[in-house]
Amino acid sequence: MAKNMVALTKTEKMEMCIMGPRGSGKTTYLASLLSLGMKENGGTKIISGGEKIGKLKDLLANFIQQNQSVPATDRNSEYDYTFGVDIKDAKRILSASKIILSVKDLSGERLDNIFQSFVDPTGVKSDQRQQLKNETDNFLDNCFKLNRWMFMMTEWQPERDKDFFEPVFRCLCDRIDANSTLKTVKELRIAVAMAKCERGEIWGSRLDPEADLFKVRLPRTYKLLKERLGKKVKFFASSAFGVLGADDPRPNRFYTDYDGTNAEYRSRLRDYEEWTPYGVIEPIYWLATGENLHNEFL
Amino acid sequence: MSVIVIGDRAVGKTSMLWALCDLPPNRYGEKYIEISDDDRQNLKNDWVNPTSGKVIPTEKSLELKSIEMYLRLPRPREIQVQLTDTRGEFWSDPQIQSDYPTAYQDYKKTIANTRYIIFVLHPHTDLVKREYLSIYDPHGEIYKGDGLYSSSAWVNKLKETLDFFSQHCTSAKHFFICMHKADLFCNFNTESARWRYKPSGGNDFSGYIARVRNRYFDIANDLIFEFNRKHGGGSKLSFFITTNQDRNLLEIPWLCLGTYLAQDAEE
Repeated sequence: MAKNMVALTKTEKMEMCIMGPRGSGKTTYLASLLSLGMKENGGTKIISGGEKIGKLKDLLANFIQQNQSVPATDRNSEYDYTFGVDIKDAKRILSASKIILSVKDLSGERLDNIFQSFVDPTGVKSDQRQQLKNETDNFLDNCFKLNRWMFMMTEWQPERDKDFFEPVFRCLCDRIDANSTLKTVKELRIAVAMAKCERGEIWGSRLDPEADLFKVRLPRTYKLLKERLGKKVKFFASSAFGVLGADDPRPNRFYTDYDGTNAEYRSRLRDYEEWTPYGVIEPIYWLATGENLHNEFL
Repeated sequence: MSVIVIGDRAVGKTSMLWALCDLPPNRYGEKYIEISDDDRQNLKNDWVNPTSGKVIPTEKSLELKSIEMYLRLPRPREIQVQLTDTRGEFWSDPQIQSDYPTAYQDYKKTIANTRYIIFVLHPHTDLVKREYLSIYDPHGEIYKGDGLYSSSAWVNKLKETLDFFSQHCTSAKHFFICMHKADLFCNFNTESARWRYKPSGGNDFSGYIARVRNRYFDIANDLIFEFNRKHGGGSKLSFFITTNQDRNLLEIPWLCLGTYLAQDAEE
């Protein structure tokens, strides 16, 4: 190819893991990528594949579309999914117009395990602590085989910021420092996304999530990550369910009647036809290329 | 993919399973769950008295069947289900439990290791409507027998059940609670028409489950809320009404269960 010519299709391959507390919406986030694949969205086309992709398709068709609660991912399990993301009609020349994405969806208690193994083991029976610690070590070793991580967050209570997220991320930062010679750590990028941004109280903050969400809502965790990870970390706002329309900022979800379960397990998609996830491609694009994708609707 | 059906003696566990195999298609000529012909014939041989045509009470504490099921979910699937039927006395009769301690231990252990649990129970007496009794229980076999509990006894029994689930069923992913004999406490034809499954999608399973809980299990709300809170705030309980008189209502819990089974199954 001549030196000044721009490639029409440039493909980036990326393998990432997705982590976050139970009920933070990791699997729903991935299912929302599938939903994007069902219609052209801002010029973006998503083709899904991989051995386990049927599980996500089942989830979409049998649970989300039938107003059923998305079942929790089984404890200590992980599923691999593959997506091909075509980004067309971008407003400027991009580093990549196609991303081949492999994702490991990790069950939600992993962060709890890190907390209980290395921060506060009092919630675990003494005879089970060593086993949990070994399992968590093993889990983290596997994470360090990947150079792209994504964290889904949903909560911002000051006590969760101080007592849980900050110590868990401090522990992870210590591990990252201890493994600094690894190639994956040298190349490491971590996307931290505030999920469920359709919530009215944070929807307005989505346009600048770093300044208006993380810095304000999770100040201790934000400060720690910025100081320890620098350019390896970036903050995002996403919403798997999105809102009802460009002119209708009501969340495209509703809650079922209270039955003792937490609100995150009672939320359901309100209007399948109007389903437009928000901010789900942006973090993937940054993880793949290190470049921002300036399109609010991706 | 293991499923177990538990509940009191004569609550209708086996007959409910057989009705799922045997009831004709709904008024639209549709069946959304189909059992393979071979399996259906095997179940008939095991469960149905050839002379009377009635379902035989389960004798063994546990009866494991491997059944091939075709589920017309929005993403249809054919799956193999390991279904365990149980003898009701082991659930509710302390005398049987102590007379057969080894069998009772096996019974409890099997429930504890099962991924999906269907619990079948009767309505309590306050729910039952006189006008329906005269049609569907004209000889008072259910109402006057030991088949129905008073509302307070019913709540106590449900509490025992939920406590058992909490204590023993740590492997269970989800519990499907079916209030059987819907013909005795509601106009099941209306409910059936309203909530009939739509295979093309757009079903409101959550709305149906919430309605059943609010209308028929409301006297046990405190117990249910407490159970959900204790289990990490996630939803593990779903509620249904069923009757052997109506295919639509009978299929709904199995279709909900089917969504989980399909999720677990390898494609």
